[in-house]
Amino acid sequence: MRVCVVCHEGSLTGAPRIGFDIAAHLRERHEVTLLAKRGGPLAELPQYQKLRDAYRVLDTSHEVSDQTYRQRVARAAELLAETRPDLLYVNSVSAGEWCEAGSRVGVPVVLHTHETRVSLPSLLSSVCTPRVLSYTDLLVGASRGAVEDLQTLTSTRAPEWFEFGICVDAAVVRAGAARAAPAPVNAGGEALPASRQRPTVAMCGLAQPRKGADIFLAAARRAPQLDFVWIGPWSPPEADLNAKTHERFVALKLRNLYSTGLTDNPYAHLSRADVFVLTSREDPNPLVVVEALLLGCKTVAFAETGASVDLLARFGYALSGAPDAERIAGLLPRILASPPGRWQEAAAERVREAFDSAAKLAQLEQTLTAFHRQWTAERRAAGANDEAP
Amino acid sequence: MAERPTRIAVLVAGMHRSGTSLLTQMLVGVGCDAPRTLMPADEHNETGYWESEQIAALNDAILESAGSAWDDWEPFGADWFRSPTAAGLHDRAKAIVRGEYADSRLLVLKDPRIGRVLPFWCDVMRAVGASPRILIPLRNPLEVADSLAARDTIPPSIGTLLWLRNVLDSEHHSRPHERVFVRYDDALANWQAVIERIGAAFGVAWPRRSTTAALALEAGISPALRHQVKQDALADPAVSRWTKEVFGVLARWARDDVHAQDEATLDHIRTALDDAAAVFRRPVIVSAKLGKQAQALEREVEARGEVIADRERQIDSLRRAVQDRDGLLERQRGELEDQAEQIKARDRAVAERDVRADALLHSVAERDARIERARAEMDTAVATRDATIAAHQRTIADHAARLDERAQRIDQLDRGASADAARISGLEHALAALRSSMSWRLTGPLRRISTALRSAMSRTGGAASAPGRWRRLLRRFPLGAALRRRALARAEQATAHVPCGRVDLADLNAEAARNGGPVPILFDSRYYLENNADVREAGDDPLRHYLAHGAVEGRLPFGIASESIDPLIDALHRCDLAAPDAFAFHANLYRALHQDLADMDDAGLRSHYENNGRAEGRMCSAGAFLQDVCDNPREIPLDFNFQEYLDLYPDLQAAFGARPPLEALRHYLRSGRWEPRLHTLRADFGQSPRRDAPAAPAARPLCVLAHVYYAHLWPELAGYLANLPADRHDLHVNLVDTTFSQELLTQVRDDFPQARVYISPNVGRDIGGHFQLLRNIRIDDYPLYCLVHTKESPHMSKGEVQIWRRKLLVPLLGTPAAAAGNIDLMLNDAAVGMVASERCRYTALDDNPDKYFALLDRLGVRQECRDVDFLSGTMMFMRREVLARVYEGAGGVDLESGDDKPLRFHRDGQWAHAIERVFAPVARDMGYRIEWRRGAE
Repeated sequence: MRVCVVCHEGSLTGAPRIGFDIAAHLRERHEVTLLAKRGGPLAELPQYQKLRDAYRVLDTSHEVSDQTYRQRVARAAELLAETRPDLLYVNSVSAGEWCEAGSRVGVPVVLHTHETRVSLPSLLSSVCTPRVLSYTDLLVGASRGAVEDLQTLTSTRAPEWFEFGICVDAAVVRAGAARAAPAPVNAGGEALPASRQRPTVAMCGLAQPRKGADIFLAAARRAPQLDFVWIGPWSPPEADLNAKTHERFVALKLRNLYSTGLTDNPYAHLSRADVFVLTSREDPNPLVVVEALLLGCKTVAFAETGASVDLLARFGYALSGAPDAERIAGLLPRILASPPGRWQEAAAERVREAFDSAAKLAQLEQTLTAFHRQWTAERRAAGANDEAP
Repeated sequence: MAERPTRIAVLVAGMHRSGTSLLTQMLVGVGCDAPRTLMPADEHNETGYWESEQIAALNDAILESAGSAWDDWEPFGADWFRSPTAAGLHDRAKAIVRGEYADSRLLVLKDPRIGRVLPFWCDVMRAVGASPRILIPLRNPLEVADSLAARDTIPPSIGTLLWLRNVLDSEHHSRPHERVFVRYDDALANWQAVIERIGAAFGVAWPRRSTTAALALEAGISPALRHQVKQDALADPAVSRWTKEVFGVLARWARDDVHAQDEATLDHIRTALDDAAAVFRRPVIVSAKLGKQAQALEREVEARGEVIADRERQIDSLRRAVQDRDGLLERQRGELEDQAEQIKARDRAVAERDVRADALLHSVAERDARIERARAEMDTAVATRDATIAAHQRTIADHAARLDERAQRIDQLDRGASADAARISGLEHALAALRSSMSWRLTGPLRRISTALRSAMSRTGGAASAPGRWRRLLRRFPLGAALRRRALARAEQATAHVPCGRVDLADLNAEAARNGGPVPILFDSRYYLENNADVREAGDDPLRHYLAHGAVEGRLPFGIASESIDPLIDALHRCDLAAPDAFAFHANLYRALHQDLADMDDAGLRSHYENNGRAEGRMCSAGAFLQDVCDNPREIPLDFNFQEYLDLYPDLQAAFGARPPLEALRHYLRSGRWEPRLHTLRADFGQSPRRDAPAAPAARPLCVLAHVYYAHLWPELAGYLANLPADRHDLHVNLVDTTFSQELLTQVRDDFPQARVYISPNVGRDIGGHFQLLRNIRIDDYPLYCLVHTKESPHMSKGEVQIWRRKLLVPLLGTPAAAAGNIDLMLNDAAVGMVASERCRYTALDDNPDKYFALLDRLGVRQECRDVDFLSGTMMFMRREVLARVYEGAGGVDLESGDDKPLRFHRDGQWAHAIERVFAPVARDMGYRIEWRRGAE
């Protein structure tokens, strides 16, 4: 089967990584083309090196291109007409123009939705189209909520859908954790001491308001007795709002707030943290929560952040409401006051079993193969009917 | 040209180490001016040298320029004084004298080297206007030689030779001038007489001859300064004749006065010395060198001796350390011997114990033999009993055969029950799938209408409509007038088309559930028959056909299509933005966009646009409208209904009621669809079956919501929760920020590993905790809920509140049987809405009437159900429908924070207290009864 997988970007964030994982898995038995509307460092990671010759960056993302929706659809259709894949796998609503293009070219279209009601309206109105589900033959959902949100906001019911959830490769996570990493530094340029005299609190991602970088900073200010490490770059230069957050990071010069900068191995830092706090304002299915649990890290998230809170209600610390720096600062000392209980020791293994990427990807491959077989059979039947007198 | 002498310069010549410094000090003490830059004192001259560093350096330069040095005993060349070198140094000397002495009228210049070059300095003094006076100290040549040997390692023989040279030169060169010879011994013995004598000889009245000056000099002049004391040189046989003669002459001159007849003697010796120098120069140099080497060797021998002494001291110290170690070794050897003795003693003790152990083993062997005998006796007894048991087993086998017969009968009954259970489970899953959708939540208000209508239908038995009754029912819902009219009409229509006879809604619902869909709210039998010829021709009942087939096949339950596809919507939907006519004038759109043109016909509209509208920039085409509101015409829902969209939302009614209809569509496309709002009254949206229904929700019927504020009460609550059947419930626990601790969380998870635990702010007391948990749960996933919490009240004693907790919990969860019985009761009796403790039933409003009635109004509870009769303590089993209605109606109230509040706050009067009271009225209003349980005493 020739499969074309389209990601909206190649950043280190959750959705593109799932897309790359799917492409890498399918490549073992199928002919795969991996397209990204916008580049990023993801392709450089060792586990994706096998995709190198199948990977192509298009630079058609609305963030780097002025093309209209129609122009993007036309461009995608041209590419599909050239390659004629047997199956088109669109890995995000942010790449939704490919659904219409696939439908136009006559390729079975699978849409994988990671987005929720918070980000969907702007995507549907400016990047994609509310008709996206009418061009989709099979919907794959990061969660049941993500599927329902897309159906509700497009007033369209998907013909079929499959709940993929999220998955992680425990071996990659643990290997990364075992590797050495440069010490994070604070705004004054001081490195985090390797001797770890004080408890360390971590958060991971691109430091921006959606990820709650300002909340993390405020929590660090309120809890000077703890060290806070932001795993990831603090200042994406292209965003004014983020730059302001960075300015504040620099201006405050908190001695207990450190940043790793852009890193391809967050696991080395995660494994050294005592507690991981997801400060995101909206993060429906963050992989990093699962990864932190896998590494035995005490993990905290707020209920309004997204679906990961159900996981943490079982294996971590699920806080009701929206992320709040004062609550973080108030609760962290008590969370850190004593060693993990027996329940946490077992959590890592149970999380590994529940989110094992090998099993999930195999299940997805099976579903895609069956779907493609059925779609092809229906097409043949329809063609036969058309030809009948 | 020399200046005319107006000043006196006392030049202290004579041999080194002869008291030149002492005499200079004495002269300074009586008023002579010393040079400004004095050479500092050192260990060889403790009271200082009293000589100018610059003049000493100049004298060294003079001697060096003549090939000589201060320790040279050979004659100083007389030609040098007339050489250009001397002339050059002369000016430098004058400058130094002026700098060192300025305008001094009585100065003293001391340097032992002066004696060798006295003519030079006398010329210099005259050149600066000073009349030179020569003072020549005299000391025993043996003492001088010793002193030089001590200071400069000069052999004494050379030292006396140097003395002879220096003294002879000083005497010879001083002859033209006024001069005085003074013995060092005299100066130390009676300095005042010496000073008097010098003054008299030089014709000088000393400026400072005061008592104070005398006392100061007394303090500085001490015989202790004299380190080398020798016998009279004249008596010493080691002293040469020349030296003796010179010392004898000069000593006499120092005592009496200068006698010119002695000068010939001195000149003779000086000449002889000059001659001898040419002869003995080389051997003397070698001798001096060897002498120096010998002295250096002596000093090295002394140093080596000190090193050897130091080493010997170290050896002594090490010897003592070795002795100490030997002592320590001896003591440790003694300790080792003691320990060896102790080991031997222990070995003896072990041997004794071995003997005792052997005895014990022997005893054990005897006991084993006794046990063996007892076992044999037991075997005999067992054999006897086995026979008895075999007889009993035969009897049991007979009974088992009869039991098998009964078990088969029970299996038959179980299979029947399993089939029933599977059917029930299927119904529940389908229902839960339906209710899990977002649109289900969005259509809540409509569903409540539907519920009321169905309830009314069931009460009227499907008889003819009762318009008054519908109106009363619909009045309970906040609907616009038009919507109310429409709903009433459809309700009546639906009722009118129900087949004759009593309608069993439960049966219809079950049938619908089996087919994956619910009963539609507004079913239009006439429309259904008119638009579905196959149904009409088959003579099927339209409603039953819809439930059995139509819903699955996607047939519409009422005329939504014909009613809702508005011509305007149709026109917009069909618009191809790429086509040239998309932006052409469209009369209907033009009318619909501009309220002031509503009454014009098409021709009038065209004329208006051409004459006015174009110039005014009025929108006139489908393309322009679409570009303004959306990206693609297909984003417009085909069933969009302008009037229903406004009727559904009173805020839109107020804002858009009087505006052109397309404004409502513009609002929907720009805002409404994202909020999201419904665009039509199509009540079947989201309720028809899906080909791919989501995974079945939790199969467990009960969801327990446990709020834990008081950590110390968790073990007690956990004990009650443990009575619930594990396979029939899910546990959700809410902890609060105020009392959260890692230990509490660990305890909860250790007790219930499957529990889902959340941490929330302390808001709304126990009710707030339960509501916080509901925010994380799909309320439709469970048919039953159980609300519990760690009850304690600050305004009551611990004993009272403990009894209260027991009263609340024992009837609910007091035993496994009680817990299972309550679940079974609610699952089997659909009329039971709540199960709670009879002992905590309460009928007073106390301080909370306002909030209580406000809530009842908000929840739409009928007057006849508003009696205050509720469970005080908020621990109860509850049906989902009751909880959902209260949560939907009261979940948005601003619950109060419970931290740092006075007792009055906890007693009553808060929203949480009011919500606690409305569960029972809501249940009654929904037609449920409340099962008040007493529980075991």
